[in-house]
Amino acid sequence: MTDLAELAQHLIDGHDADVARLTRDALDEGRAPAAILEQGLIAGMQVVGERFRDNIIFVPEVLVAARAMKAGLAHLEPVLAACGIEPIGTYVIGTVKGDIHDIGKNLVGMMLKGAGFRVIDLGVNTPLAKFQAAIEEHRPDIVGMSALLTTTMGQMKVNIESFRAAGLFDRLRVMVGGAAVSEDYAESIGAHAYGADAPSSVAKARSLLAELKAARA
Amino acid sequence: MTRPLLLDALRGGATFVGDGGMGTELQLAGLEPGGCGDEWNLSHAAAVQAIQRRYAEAGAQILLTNTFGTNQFVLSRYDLAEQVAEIARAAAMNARAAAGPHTYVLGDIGPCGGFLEPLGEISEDALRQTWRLAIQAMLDVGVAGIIFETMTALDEITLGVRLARELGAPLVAASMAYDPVRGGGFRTMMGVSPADGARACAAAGADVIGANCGRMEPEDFVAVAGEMAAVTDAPLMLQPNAGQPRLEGTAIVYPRGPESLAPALLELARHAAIVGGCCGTTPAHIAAFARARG
Repeated sequence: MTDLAELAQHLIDGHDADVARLTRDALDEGRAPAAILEQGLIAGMQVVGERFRDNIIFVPEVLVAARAMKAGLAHLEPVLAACGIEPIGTYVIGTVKGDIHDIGKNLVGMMLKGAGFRVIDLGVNTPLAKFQAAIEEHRPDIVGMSALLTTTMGQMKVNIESFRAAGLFDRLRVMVGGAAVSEDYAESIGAHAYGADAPSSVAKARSLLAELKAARA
Repeated sequence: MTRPLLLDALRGGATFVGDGGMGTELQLAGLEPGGCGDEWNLSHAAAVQAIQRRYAEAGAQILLTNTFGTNQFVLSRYDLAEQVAEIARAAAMNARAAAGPHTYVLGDIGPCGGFLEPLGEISEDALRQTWRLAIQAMLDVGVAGIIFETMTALDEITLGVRLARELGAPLVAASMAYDPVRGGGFRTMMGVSPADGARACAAAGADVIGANCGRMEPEDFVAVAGEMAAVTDAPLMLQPNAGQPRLEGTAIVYPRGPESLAPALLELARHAAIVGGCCGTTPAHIAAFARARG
């Protein structure tokens, strides 16, 4: 039987072909797709996140791990969908208006996908109207906004105030991140959470989602 | 021209004051946040020259061209991918116009905005092609050398250094952006240590090895310089930020003013041949440093 810990280890090491193969093997053996996702892919990504946070690994290792995760998900997603397993939540993500940096945002998006979110990526230089339209269309649980520049982070505040004025915060949570942003800044502009890096963004997204679900229940 | 080649002067033991931040100055001059500062070399040449002239008047002996993002990958985000050479040429002419007869101009190359294959999707050929256009255009105007700065990836910076060498740049400088890591020491976002960065850049043919930007305090650059000096005899270049930006009310503030930064830069000048500033530093910072240096 396929060892899901081995699957996780291949993901940590960024072996995309092995991750794809073991994911397929596990599915062929009739393993529960949710178990493969949780104990294989997500468990591996968890370790990657911790190592990144602790400066044991850096962006290249996270990128190859994320690529390996994608290789596994390619096999898993159709099965999850066929089993009626829904994404755990919907996350709209984008770099704010005036800012064209996307390395960090892309990492967060990839890891959120790995964690089971449906991710709608609006790209860079995203005007408020585009965030608003995506919220209307996709009904996300969380909107994540990124800014690298100190000169564009003010746009996050503008957006958050508009979401608040539109009465969206009974069903929506907002996260911010990016090189220029800090925990204090996130708090000062009324964001619900600050993502310091990709792994911690995923952790915070999960806890915001749990909060939202508890509030809805 | 009586000015000696910059590389010869450095090898002779001369030390230099570099310039300070460009992006923040462009925004003060009216560039919109997220706008294309490189394009201003064409559309707002006088404003670009005015900033560079203020740096020269403040005492900067080396000016960098306003070409941080002059490559097809960054410029394509502004639909300007076809104008790499044109912008680079204008930028070199702007800096030369602002520079006095004794001021050197280095053609500036910032990160390409993505990752090289296989990690990313940018091919070495494509990067060489676009950087060749920018470097050649600046060399044709007569810059004193080419500097690669704020780099985080070894494959990218060494490709650039080799290319600038091939194109006959009279001097090639290579500067990376380091962050402090848990447990001590420094790495770039891509995990490169100052020693590895310095060693690889020197091996690729860089004449000057440096560090700039990053999430470091200016004082941290002493340790970074030590790590680099342990593996290379090349002259060093250090350009720290004016501290780490923080928010005051709704304004972004770099905490180190000219009088606070000057002693730190003076200390760095004991460890490096070229010392200037990066994000948040202004002509006033450079003037205070130049005065303190005497």
